[in-house]
Amino acid sequence: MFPAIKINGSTIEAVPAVHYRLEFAREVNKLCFCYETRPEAVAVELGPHLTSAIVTWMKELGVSPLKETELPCMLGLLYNNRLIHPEYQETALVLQAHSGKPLNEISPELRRQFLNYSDKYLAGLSSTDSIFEAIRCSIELNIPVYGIDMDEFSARQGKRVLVEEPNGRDFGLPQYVFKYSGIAAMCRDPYVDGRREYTMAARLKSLAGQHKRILFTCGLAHWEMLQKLIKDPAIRPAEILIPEGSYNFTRVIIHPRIAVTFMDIYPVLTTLYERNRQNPLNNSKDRLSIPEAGRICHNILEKVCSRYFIEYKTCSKEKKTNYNIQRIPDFERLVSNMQIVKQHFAPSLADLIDCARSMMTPEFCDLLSTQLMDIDRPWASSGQFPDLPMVSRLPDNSEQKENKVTVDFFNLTESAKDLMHPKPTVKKRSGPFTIDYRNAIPVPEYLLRFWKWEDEPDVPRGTGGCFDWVWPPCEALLFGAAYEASKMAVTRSNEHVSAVFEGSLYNGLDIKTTIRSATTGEKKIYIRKPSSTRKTFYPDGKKPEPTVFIFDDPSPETKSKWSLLIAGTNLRSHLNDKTGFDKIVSKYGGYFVSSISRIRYQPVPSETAGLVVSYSILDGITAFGNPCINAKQGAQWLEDNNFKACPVLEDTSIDTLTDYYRKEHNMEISEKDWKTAMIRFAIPFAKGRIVVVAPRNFRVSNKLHFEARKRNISIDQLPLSYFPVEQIAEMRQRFIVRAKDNDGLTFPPEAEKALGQKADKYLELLPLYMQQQLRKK
Amino acid sequence: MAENDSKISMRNKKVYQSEPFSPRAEYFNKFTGRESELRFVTAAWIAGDSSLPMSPLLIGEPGVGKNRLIYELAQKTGRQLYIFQGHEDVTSEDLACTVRFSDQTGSVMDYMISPLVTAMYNGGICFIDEIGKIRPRALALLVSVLDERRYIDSTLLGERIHAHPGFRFVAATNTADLNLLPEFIISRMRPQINIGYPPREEIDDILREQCKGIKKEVEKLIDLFWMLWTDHGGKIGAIAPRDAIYLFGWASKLSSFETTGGPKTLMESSLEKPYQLTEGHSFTGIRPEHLKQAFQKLFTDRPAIKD
Ligand SMILES: Nc1ncnc2c1ncn2[C@@H]1O[C@H](COP(=O)(O)OP(=O)(O)OP(=O)(O)O)[C@@H](O)[C@H]1O
Ligand SMILES: [Mg+2]
Repeated sequence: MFPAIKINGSTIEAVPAVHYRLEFAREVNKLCFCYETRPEAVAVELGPHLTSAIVTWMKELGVSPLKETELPCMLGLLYNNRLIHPEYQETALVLQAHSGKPLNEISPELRRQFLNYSDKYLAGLSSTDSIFEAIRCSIELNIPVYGIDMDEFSARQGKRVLVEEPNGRDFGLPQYVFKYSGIAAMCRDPYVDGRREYTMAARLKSLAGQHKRILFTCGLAHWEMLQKLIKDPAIRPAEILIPEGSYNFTRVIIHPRIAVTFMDIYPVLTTLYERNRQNPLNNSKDRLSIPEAGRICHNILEKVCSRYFIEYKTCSKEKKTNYNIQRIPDFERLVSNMQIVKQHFAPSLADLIDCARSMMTPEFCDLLSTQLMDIDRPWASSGQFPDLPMVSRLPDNSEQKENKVTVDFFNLTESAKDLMHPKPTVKKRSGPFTIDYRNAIPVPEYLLRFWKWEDEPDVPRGTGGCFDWVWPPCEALLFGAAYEASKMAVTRSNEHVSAVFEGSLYNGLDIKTTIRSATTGEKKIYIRKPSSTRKTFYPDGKKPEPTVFIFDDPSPETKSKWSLLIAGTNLRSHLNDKTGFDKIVSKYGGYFVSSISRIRYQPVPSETAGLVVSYSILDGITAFGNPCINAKQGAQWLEDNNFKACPVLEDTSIDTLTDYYRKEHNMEISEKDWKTAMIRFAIPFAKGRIVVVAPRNFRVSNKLHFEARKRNISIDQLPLSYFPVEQIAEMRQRFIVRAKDNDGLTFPPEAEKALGQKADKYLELLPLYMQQQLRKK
Repeated sequence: MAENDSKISMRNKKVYQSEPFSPRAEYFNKFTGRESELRFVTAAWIAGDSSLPMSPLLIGEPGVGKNRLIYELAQKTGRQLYIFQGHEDVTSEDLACTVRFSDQTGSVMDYMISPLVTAMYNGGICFIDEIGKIRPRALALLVSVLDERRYIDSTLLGERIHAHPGFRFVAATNTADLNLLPEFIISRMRPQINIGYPPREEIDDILREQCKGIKKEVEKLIDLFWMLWTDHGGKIGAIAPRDAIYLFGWASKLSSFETTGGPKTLMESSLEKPYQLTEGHSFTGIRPEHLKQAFQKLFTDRPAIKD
């Protein structure tokens, strides 16, 4: 017998559920399979809009009455939030008064912490959740499904209550609901949940008038109240009036580290569920049988230990101390004691990792998290769904140690396949935002921080969680040349001074002055002489000027491409002025472009394969001043220049860049004529001048000179032939190498070997100030 | 005078035990939160006939509540708690037994067994606080206590004391001192439990508890406090309970100083009309200005938090 309510001759069979636990999804499936209980309609605790978005998507994913399907793990819908819980009204007022800013200008971090307000909501299409199972069954049975909850509501800080774990095989829904729905109800939020339950009850009543048998599934906490409200004659049936206004649901791939939040206690359970689950129309006898969670945990630990043992046996002698085999029994005992004190049938993923971290070496923790995250099939990835952006958590490197107090930020990345990379690479990134997980308590970031995902889209240099940096000697040589050029280039001055004729006419007679002199009776002849007090520049490396190198004009068939490099990731953690930085980032985006170049990809030399990520030849480059050899140097450069030294963008595409110049500098830059574009890119960022190093026959057009003069800067040229041919050839090479850390601080020794040079070669060519930036530890 | 019942006899030697620590309720605020840490230590201590209890090491910043957690556990598990305070001058024998001149006629010296040995003897909890401050050499005796031998040898007593089955061990250290601990101790102390800053709600609850008298105003004060804290460069929630408690304590003092008439009254007080040093209703008259002043004193006048 399922918990059921009869009204007006209709039966509502309910599955009040603990979210994401497969026991409850299985009950839903059972109800739909049994002929006697098969519903005519399904109702779920989701808003009507969200429900219909899910139905449409599930159908596109192949869910249909005709076949068995497997839901990818995991996709989700992201949508905007607009509401703050009324409980925070007072705080919102205090916050505004204290900061002197309206709410929308207060940082998302503070909004989250003070007002529990998140920018977005994320709903994960979780196979093991009763709600998604119910929607799926409704499509398979070809019956209507109604989202009877409200689409929008605010959230306050969640409260947790202790209910017994549903336990696999012996699980009985009615007993469970009877025992725990009251306790679960204690975490209800009377304001928001009260209104939602009222709405749901009224809508259920109206549905009961239309269908004889309805399957309804909702969170366990709502069940007590819903029962009361449905029985209450004062609550009138209400149609589901789909409110006006459109919701923007963004379909996303959920990064596995986040997806675990929407899953049963072990991720692999999702796959087991999918493999055992059947379309309710399928008549086969064997219904869903899934091993107990305890067994699964046992298997996981067994695998981890045997791997650990093998690694121990096969590793070199010096590394043996990284393994503490003899402590495994204690670890296992701690895990089982933990189960006792937590009253769990099986230890949670978090408990397992926590115990491992407190008992075992990092090697063990690595193996354990890898095994826990193994779902026996690939996680949904950009490779599989190239059109979907992926939502992932931004790494927070500012605090190395675990920390419960930080606010998590997320972003969306769009990937694309690139010929140069075997895996999809990140093409575009959204700015950071905060997220609230619907119905779920997030698995803390620090637990899975060290887990590496094979299908992680590759990130072009310098973006979040990225290790790919230009090989420092390439940068040092190029920027060393720029430094040299800035000392050598001569400002072509158009200013003249009048001087008394002393034998050389220079630029001809200065008629006006000569006449003036005649009228005063001086009677001297004046000529025009180029100003000898030329502007001189003392480049110091602290506030460097932009330099443009134009190396070559490739024949039209050899296509070169735009390439934007950035100052680094995790810049924030290396800055003192974090507020200034945050302001810029929230206004323009998180990408500080340190150079813009035209490159041609080359095959990676075989001896460097596996170390060098890509190899290219430069046709030209606009360098905004600092090589940003690592993130620390990048950060200091930005800060020295008040974050005004270079364009700041939301992603590193050329279109975004030209948009930026149009919007921020009122410049229409055509990428067709790349040489002109390169010089123009530099103009807004020059303080006094731009040095252009180009072949002798290259002429900076008068239009460009004019544009520069208008901004009170000069464009000074130095012939490329100033530099020896071999040096030019080397300057044009760009190797991108995977560093050992995010910030490009250290490189593997193998890379030095393969490339035949030390990572600090040519550093002495840079201005002293820049060398010091790099020496800083 | 009755004989001190803390005196026990060990193979004909009369030995004094260390005093257990029993927290005096009036000095302690209500304990809040820390559920997962309590569970963690408990799980490490569960033991039976076939398995030995583990010896957890608590690691955390100053003032996060490591001591408090242990006091709480001692109460919850109903065991006597013996605290050994670690510092630079602890010697190896201090950990086991010390002697002092006797005040009793008839004996010259008294043996005093350390908190550690007393706990081992009685089946209580031994808590070594600030274990990182003890010099590595002095810790050598601890090794046999922490492994399956579970005994300690005291040269002074000439005894080997075996641990009572009820004996439990725990130690705490500040994060900064962790790397001063020698490997032979670190490797025996498991699990290592990081005691982080409590989540914001727990700090809020501690403050609410502290300011029970002003239920209505306290929410605003707490909000104000966090705003000052974030302005100051702190992260919300990233504060040790001690600092938060101290801050509100100070604010309360400022407020009661004001109610007694402030500086003027103090100056005018005299022998006939003395200034009252005992606080009246503490934590009731705190106003935002008091909190701001206290904050300024405690945090702003110190260098800002760097992260
Ligand atoms: N969970 C809590 N609930 C209530 N009060 C707490 C809690 N945790 C800590 N406190 C209070 O905070 C203060 C500091 O705690 P405690 O002395 O235990 O910190 P500690 O980590 O041992 O510090 P230290 O490293 O300096 O020894 C004490 O006054 C304690 O009562
Ligand atoms: Mg302490």
